[in-house]
Amino acid sequence: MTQKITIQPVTRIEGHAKITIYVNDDGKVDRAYFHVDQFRGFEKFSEGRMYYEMPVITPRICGICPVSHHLAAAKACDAIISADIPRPAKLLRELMHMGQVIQSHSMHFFELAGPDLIFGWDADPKIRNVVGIIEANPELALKAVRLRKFGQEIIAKLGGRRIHPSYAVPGGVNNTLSIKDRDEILKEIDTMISYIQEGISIAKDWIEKNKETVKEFGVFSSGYMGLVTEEGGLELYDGKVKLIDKDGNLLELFDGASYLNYIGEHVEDWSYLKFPFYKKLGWPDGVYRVGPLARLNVAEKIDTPLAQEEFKNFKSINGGKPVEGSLYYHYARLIEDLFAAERAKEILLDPDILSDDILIRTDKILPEGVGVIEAPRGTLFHHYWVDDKGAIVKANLIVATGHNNWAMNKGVEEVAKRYIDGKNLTEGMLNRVEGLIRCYDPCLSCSTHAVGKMPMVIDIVSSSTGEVIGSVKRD
Amino acid sequence: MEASKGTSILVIGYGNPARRDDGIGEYVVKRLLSEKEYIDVLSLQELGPEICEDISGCELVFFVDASMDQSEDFIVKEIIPRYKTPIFSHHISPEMLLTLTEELYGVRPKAYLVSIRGYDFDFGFELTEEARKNSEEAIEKIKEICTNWLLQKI
Repeated sequence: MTQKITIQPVTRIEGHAKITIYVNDDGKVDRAYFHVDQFRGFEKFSEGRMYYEMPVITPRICGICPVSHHLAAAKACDAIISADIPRPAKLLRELMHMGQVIQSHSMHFFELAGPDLIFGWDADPKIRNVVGIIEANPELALKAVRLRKFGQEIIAKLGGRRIHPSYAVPGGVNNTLSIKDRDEILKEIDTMISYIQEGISIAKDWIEKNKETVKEFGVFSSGYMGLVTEEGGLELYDGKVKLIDKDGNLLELFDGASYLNYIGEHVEDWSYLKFPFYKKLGWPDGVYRVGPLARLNVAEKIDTPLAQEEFKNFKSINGGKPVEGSLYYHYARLIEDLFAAERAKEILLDPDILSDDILIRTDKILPEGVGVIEAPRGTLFHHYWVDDKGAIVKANLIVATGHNNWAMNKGVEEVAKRYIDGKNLTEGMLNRVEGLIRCYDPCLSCSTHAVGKMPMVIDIVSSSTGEVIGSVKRD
Repeated sequence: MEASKGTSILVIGYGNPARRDDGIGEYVVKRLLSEKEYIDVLSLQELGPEICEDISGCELVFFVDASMDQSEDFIVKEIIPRYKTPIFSHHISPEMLLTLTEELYGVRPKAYLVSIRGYDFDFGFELTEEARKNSEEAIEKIKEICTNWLLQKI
């Protein structure tokens, strides 16, 4: 008899994502799935809207990374009006993006990943949480909140609203940066860099003390994808899309606008979330990962000094070959956090940042436009097709959580097979499965358009009888 | 969305206005903008830990959210700090925010959760008529609580 263990978030809008683990009579895991059971209808909802509304509408997809959707939409609109936006506008958009990366990456490490790393997988859940971190190290916790707030303040100074900015417009941005606001951000930035470095020390210390776990936890081969600069450096706002294979060999380096030539989407009947893959290798050989680990795997360098030093250490982990362990996402995320803070400082010190040359207008409306950006969780594509008036006739969005759909499934299965004993199920075992998902930091708002709450239900079900053998609810 | 600062009352409306009645929180906040002389407001799609600092500066806090799990038009209940385990969600509950605020800043403001019944959570920017009506009634209740609280302070 095979048992089925289900880990399911429940929301007031039914559906979205859950984890199902099938366990056989011996208590061993046969297979496992991370699946999404809510249809994402935002593309359909966009049809009929004017293209220039998209930078305002699409941030509503997600309360976690709205700036990424905002900027990807604006870039798609730039393409539709054939606008090469002024350099100051690019810098201002990139600065806003760095604010988004800082707040998102910092929040993830300290609040979602941190408790596992600091207290251990098997620690009592009563202490293995962010409150436990506060009690164990209140100064660290305050720093985490300040980092998150700092990122949000960058966004607010540019966009005026912390969560859903209205700043980037087709052809540029709609506001300049004042000297006062620039100086206020600059005043804080070195302190923030030191906070991130503290987080990196914690992550490295944990990796050093848990070498065996890191070597066996969610380690598997895949391709990797991410944006790079012209010189092959880490890039989060612009650049070309680079795709490498499991050994680090270059597969493709392409302009994001041509993504449909390279990326296909596989469909499984047990999930509404599609499985993107590299077309030339086909499904499933062409699977790849995105996000912090993937970006550092595809990059050849980082163009800011402190992050570059950490990057060298990262590259040494696997002798220059791609780093495969899922837990390294946490380390990579913090290196990117450091890069984002350093890059924000560079941008703020650039004289062009105060320029009022921030917008270019055209009278063109091309039939389609693609915007690509590295959202905190991975590569984000926005593709709009418009009629001659500029109304959207079709939209296609590929979000980071979609790109990592295969990897999360693979990782859940690897971790479940290694750690789950169906006959002696413990909280720590299930926490490891959840911990694998936390490595990828999926944004279920983006991938499912869930609304708000996500408590979890873990059901253990006999697949032969359908009987619920056990159930754990966390709310 | 942020209003004026400096008062001791904060109303936080949260939810996604692109999902029809899930925009109840933002609707209430917008309506309360006219009361900004004595109420600060904040509109968010999801609650995040960075607002602990805003909460820590207040004595009275309202969390306004849409609900489809109730038969009442709206419910106002006092809440206290309570820990809730995040799994891989980015969502933080009001009770959890109060916990973080107390742990980080040593402050525990009086807090209410205002749950307002919604009916349609599909894509769209308009509230249903029923949700609008429920929101208006909840707004009057929030004002009443604020008035009584301010009178007690005199």
